[in-house]
Amino acid sequence: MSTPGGSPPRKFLQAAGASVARLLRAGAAKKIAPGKFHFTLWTSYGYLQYADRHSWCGFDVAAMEDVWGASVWFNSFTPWSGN
Amino acid sequence: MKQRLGPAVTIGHTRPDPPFWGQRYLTFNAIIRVNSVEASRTRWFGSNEESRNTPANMQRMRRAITREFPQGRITWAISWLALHEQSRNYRAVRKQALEYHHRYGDEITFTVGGFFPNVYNYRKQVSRDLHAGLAAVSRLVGGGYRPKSVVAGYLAAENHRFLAEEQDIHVCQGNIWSQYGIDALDDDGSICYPYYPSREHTLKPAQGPADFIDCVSLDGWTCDFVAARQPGFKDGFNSRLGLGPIETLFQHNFSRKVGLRQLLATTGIHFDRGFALNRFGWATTIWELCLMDNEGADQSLAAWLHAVRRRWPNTRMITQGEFGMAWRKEFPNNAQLNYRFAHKGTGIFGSDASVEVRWYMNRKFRLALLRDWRHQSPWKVIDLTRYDLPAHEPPGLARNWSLINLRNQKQTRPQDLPVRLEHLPAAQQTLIANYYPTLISESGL
Repeated sequence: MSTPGGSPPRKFLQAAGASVARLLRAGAAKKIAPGKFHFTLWTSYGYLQYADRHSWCGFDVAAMEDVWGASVWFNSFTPWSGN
Repeated sequence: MKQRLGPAVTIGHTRPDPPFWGQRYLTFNAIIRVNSVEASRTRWFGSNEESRNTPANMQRMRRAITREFPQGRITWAISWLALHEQSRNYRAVRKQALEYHHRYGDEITFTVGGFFPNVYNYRKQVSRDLHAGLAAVSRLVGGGYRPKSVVAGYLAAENHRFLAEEQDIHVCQGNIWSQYGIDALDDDGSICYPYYPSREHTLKPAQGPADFIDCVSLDGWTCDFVAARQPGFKDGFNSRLGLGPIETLFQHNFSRKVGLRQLLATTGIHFDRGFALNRFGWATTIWELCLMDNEGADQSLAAWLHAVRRRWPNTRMITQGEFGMAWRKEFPNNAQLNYRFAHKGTGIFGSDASVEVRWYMNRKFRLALLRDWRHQSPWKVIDLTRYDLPAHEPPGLARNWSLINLRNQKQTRPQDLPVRLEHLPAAQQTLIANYYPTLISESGL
C-alpha cells in the first residue's frame, strides 16, 4: 500500500498482547504522522497462530509483551519514540 | 410415527428435558469472524482471516462433530464484520450456518468485540453493539429467532445486565477464567463454573437480590488447573493450556498427539473427579473457524471428540445457551453454589506432574490449595478471593478487569506467597470453616 506523495508506510506489529495505553499511543502516533505507518496487534493466541518467518517479514517493527521475563523489541524504529 | 402425531407436532419437541444432575456437558462454540481481533465495528487488528473462514472449513468442523456426536448441537458465534460482509464467501458462510441451525439445532449468535469488548469500547457502546448484533442475527435467521446466549470473551457487569434486562438474553460466555498476563486481557478472579454476576463486578458472584444480574456468566475455555495458576507465559509455559485449541493443539511446542492427551486430561478433570464432586461435569471450548485451515485440524478435533465419547459415552453435547438455561432452572441464584475440583498435573508443558491443585468455589469466596503430591508436602493456600467484599470494575477502558483481593493464584504480589491453611488469619479460617468445617482440621486432606 502506498501513500500519495510520500514514502511507503512503515508496518508496525505489536505482538503477543497490548496494553490500552500502547494502543492509544499508537493512535496518537497515527495522528502525528498520518499514513506513515500501519499498526496492528497480535494477541498472544494470534502470535501462536500466525508468527512464522513469512508473517514476520511483513513488518518493519515488532514489539512484544505479555512474555513474562522478557520484553523484546525488534528493529530500532519506534513510532512513539517521542513519548 | 411422525405422521400420526400430526404436522404441528415434532418428535423433538415432545421429549421432556433430561434431568440436569448426573450429566456430563460438553459445549462447543465456533467463532466466525473476518479479522482476528475485531475491536469495534470499524476498528480491527491482527490478521485478515477471510480466506480461512469458509463454508468448506465449516463443513470440515461440523463433519468432525457430527461423526462423533450425531445428536450434538453447537454454537456458531458470528462477529459484526462477518455478519455484514457482503462477499460471496461470507454470504455462503452465513447460509451454511443457517443450514446447520435447521438441520442440527445449532445456535447462531453474535460475538462482540473480539473477545475483549470492554478493553476497546465503553460500556454504552458495547451495549449498542450487542443490541445491533443480536438484531442482525435475528434478521439472518428470521421467524422471530432470538439466540439463548452470546459469546463475548470478557463482558462487563453492566453489559451482562443489559443482556438480561433489555435483550432478554440470560446466558453469556462472559468471563475467561484465570486469564492473566496474556492475550491482551486480564480477568482472573472468578468462578470457573456457571454463576450469576454481581452488578459490582462481572467476576464477583451476586451476593443477593440487590446486586443480582439474571444472566448466567460462563467461562470460555476449560483450563488445566495446574498450568492456569501461573501468569502469562511464566517460565516459557502458556498458562492457557487446557481445551483451547490454539494453546493445546496448534502452538507447535509439542506434538499434536501430546496436545490430544492434554485435551482429554483437561476434559477428565470435570468428567471424572469433578463429576463425582459436583454431581455434574462441564467442559467448554471455543474454536475459531479459521483454525480448520491448519493441516489435520478436523482430524484432531474428531480424535478428541472420539476419545471423549468413548470414555464418557453419555456426554451431552448441547449449545451453551441450552446448558446455561438448564443450569438456571436448578440454580435460581448463587446461594447453593459449591463447586469443587481436584487435579494432578499432566506433566505436559506448564502442567507440572508433581503438583496437585484443589479448588473450592462458592458464593462467598474461592479457595485453591496446592501441594507436591509426590513428596506429600503440606497443602498450601494459593488463592483466597473473597466475594463478600466490595468490588469495582475499571470505570472506563482498561486491560485489567481482574478481581484480586486477599491472595491470588498468579502470585504477582508478595502477599500471594502460598501459606498453610492453619497459618491464615483467624477470620479467614472462620470464613472457610463455615463452608468446609473439616478442611482445616484435616489439613492433610
